[in-house]
Amino acid sequence: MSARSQVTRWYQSIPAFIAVSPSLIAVGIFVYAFIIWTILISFSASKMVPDFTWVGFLNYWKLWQFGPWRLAVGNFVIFSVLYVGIGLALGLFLAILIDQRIRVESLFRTIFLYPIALSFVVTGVVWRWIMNPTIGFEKFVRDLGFPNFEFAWISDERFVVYALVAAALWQVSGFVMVLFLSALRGVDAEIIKAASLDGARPWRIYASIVIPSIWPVFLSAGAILIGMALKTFDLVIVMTQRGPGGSSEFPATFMYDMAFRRNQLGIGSASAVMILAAALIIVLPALLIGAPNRDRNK
Amino acid sequence: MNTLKNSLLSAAMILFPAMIVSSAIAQDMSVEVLHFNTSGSEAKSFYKYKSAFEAAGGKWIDSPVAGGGGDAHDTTLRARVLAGDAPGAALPKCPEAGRWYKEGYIADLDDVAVKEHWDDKLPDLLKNIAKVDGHYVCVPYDIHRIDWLWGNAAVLKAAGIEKMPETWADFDNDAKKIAAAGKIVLAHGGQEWQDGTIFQDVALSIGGPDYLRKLAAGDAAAIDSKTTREVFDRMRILSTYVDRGSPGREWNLASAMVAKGDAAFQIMGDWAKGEFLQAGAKMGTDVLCAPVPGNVPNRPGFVMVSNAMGFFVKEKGNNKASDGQKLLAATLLKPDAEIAYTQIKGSVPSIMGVSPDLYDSCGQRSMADVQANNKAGTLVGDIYTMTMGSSPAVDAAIRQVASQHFQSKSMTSDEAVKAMLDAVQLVQ
Repeated sequence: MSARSQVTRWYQSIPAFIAVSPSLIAVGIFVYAFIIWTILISFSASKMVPDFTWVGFLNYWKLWQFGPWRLAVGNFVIFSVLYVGIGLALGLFLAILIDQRIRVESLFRTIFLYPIALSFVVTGVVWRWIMNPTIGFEKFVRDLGFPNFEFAWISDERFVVYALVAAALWQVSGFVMVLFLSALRGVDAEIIKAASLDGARPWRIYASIVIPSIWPVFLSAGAILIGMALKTFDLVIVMTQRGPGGSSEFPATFMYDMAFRRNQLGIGSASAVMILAAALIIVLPALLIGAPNRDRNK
Repeated sequence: MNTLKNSLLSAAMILFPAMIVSSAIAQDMSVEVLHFNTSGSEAKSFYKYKSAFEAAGGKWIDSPVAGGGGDAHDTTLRARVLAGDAPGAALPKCPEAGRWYKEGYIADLDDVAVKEHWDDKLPDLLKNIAKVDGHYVCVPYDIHRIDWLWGNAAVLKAAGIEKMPETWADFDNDAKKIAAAGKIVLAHGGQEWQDGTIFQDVALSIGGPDYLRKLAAGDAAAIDSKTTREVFDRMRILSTYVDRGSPGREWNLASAMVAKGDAAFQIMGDWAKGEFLQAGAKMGTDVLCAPVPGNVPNRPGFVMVSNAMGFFVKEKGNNKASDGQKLLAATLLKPDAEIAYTQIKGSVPSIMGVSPDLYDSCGQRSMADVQANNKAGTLVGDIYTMTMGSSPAVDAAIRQVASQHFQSKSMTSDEAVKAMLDAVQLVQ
């Protein structure tokens, strides 16, 4: 009797299927079909409008010969490494601090979480003002009495990426903190009590027991952060306008510029496919590592 | 039974919102105008054409898209044309309209051109840019001069400078005096297009009109030349005259610096005049204008950009212009309408033969220089938007390298030349 009630007949899932079908069709067309279209365009001689003359890998070859693209990729690598690395570390650090059962925990949690509610555009504008040497942080410190203080990262082609990293980290640390906090709260309290009875100090407990036990959260937080780093577009456009002098070009901004402003649809699509490839290379292993773990926990 | 009911319910919930009906009625004398003139003085001046058009019996349907340089407008226009829903009129630059003409989306205005004698009224440069295979693809309705040097009269006087510099050597001398007086020499916003504007002006002033035209076409010999290296050397010197807050600054804030007296000079097109006037400055007494200095005094050449309206058809290949479109096209080049528009906008009319008395000293100088340079053949279109035939990719490449070099503290002229060659060759 119990076996029968658990088996669902196939026709009983039709309503669910109908309800989901518009989204399924929409995603199928607007995401996957268009991805295939973009890949096709990247092998074509398209300039201003699509032109399906086959040119093979020419666009890709041209792309990788091009200095600004290599600069964009370099910027992306620096940005991602710092964004994910420091983001995870900062989020974990904040989560550990808040996990100490302080009294005003919800207040601090809210304060740290607020920035994620802002769009990248607002974050970019605010940090552009803060980083501006004539009206922002540099002026503030100089007014405090340090007339030779210099902090003009955003105007310097060598350091503008770090300025972007700072703004992006400010926005996302709270979110990573919340992810880690819920994971920390899920750690079995018995193990921690046993460890402290054995004489382990708090930092040792964290380093050897707690952190290793929440390692799946590192993966998911890392995947989210990398996803956001790949999409970095509005932050750059608003904060630095890809400047100064094109030094803060990112793959997404390069793709937009090429495809829609410079009438180079073929090269723009090639760069978009490269971004997709990067996303697959990074995310696929993470998914594969994470997948078997899920079954074990069931 | 339950399953059937649930299925029908789900299907009904999905289909119900899909039943949306829309209809559009097309009228003959109405024209939808897509444009980017949304800021104060731009809107005020542009709507003079609206009044003139409606006084003649037309119906103007306004479709403004914010974004001063027109980027958002360009994107919207491209999306709509390719979707088969082009607006009746929009503001592409003439070479862009030429590209749309090749794709088959431009309305045919030949009978209006003949009736209104456009060939007699427009200077040669504009005629050449506005026509593809002898057909008008766009209607240029004003002329903006780009190679202006603006100066704050009070700051110059206080630094002991009597007149605007005519050569780069004079400019450097003046810069020393201004720096000694504690003011910023060159007000500038470190955005790509502003860096590109200075580059273009310097290239014209040092290399001359023919050099600038070759550069615009991406000619490798012109790029890899001694002249280009001289231009980059001059750009490097100019980059030392801008202040530390310049990266990312908007052009009108740089103009405000000159109007207020914090800075001495700005190199910008004549749309800056609108900003100076709005700040209460009088042209000729409070703010002075002069062509960008060259290697010799009174150097030849005049770089201009012309705002133009392009008329589109919704169906590719079906190029008949509606009555409204023809009326609007004719209205654009009527002297009264152009005078009303340019007086507020700060540009000068695109048609020749308008009396200069209605304009201030800078406008009068502009108009006289248009005539003189037209006769001498030294009128050059803005290389980024007014180069017929070459793709925007070449100009974008030039501008990007110019901006990169100007903003960098270490890029040498040779490196810049190589980067420009690479960028131009990529897109050819």
